[in-house]
Amino acid sequence: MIVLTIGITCIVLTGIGIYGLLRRTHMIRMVLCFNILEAAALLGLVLIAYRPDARSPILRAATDVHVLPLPHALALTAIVIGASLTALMLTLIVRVHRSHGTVLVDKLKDWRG
Amino acid sequence: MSRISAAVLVSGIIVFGVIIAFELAVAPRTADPLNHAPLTLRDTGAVNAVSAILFDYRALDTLGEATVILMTATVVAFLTPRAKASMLAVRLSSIVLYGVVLLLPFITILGIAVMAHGHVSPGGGFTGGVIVATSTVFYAVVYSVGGQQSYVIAPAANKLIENTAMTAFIGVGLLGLGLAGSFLANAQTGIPLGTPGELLSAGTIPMLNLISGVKVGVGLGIIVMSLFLE
Amino acid sequence: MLEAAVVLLCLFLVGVSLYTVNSSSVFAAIIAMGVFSIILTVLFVILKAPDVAMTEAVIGAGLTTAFFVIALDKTRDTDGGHR
Repeated sequence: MIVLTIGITCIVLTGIGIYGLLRRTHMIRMVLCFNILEAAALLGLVLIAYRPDARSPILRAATDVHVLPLPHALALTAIVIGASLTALMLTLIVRVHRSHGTVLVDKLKDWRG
Repeated sequence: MSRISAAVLVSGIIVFGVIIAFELAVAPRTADPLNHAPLTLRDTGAVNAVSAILFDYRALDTLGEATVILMTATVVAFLTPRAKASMLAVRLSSIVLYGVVLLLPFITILGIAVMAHGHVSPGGGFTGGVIVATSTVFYAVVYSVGGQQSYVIAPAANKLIENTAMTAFIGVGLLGLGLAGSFLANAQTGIPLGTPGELLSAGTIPMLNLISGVKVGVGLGIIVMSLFLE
Repeated sequence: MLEAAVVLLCLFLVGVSLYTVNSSSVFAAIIAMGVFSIILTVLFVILKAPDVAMTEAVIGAGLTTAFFVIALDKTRDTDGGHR
């Protein structure tokens, strides 16, 4: 039940993120939609590791059954790199605003190619 | 966006969703047949299995991640020349001004504690480093109403700390290469692993935690400051 | 009980993300993104991933929101249309 609910949420978030990326024209909002997509990927990664009858990967006793730690490590890496990627994209948006005076994609006529 | 491409996109998402839902419904969700906990404790001595993977088994990937943050800080600092300091033009109340003074040391100490306990409890170098960087954000928002004197640490010192931490990470890796014959080796180098669960255990993992925490904290601090002083 | 909580949290998550995509002001969308990260943190704790939860709380709700607010402040002056 938990697995199915969160799996469906993950898929729905992917759809919302792609929809926002294609539909919205404000660049900062496009970065927000990119973050939604990233969150859906993280939810999927953590969901892969989840087992209903296991404990969190802090190994208190060696005989217990724990959830898989490898997807957690991947998700941790993805979060930190996603934050620096967001900072990079926002810096580029600020630069575009300095040079073109707008942050709306459909007003950047000379970029159309 | 034409109607046909929208239809193709929506049907693609639906097919993708059906495939994933099918996998989730059908895939066996029993407990892991191979209990990895004794192997992790024997190999690394770290109680936090995620930390064991990040800083022992796949430490080379973590080095790559640290490189990504270094590159991002470099590019952001390059793209934002500090010609003029334009800041949020708001007057903050004195409660904020004096409250942050009281709050900042605790935030920094929390970050360092999370870094140092990365191998025995949830957290680790990256989380602790980001907490330290958050204290930079606090300081910048409240006090940096423009001007170079608003840095927590001077930019040259920032760069020096970042480069030193990066070199120290590679140095720990070369230590493993010299002592055990493989880059970033931990238990094979002969460093005692200690009792799992104690603060001084798990070989090189606490060192790498602290180094990467300092690196991430200073790197994200550089990014924040560059964004502020654009 | 936990199932009901998970269903509620997932509904909140989808609602907040829809608000992020559809709201009229970008600033409101950024703050909604912080709320989104907090709900995601609770879900990670329920899924037994404390490390990921801590990192997501600190980065998603703290640092990234600051990045977005700074960038929005830098790009504010012209063509005020927040779309």
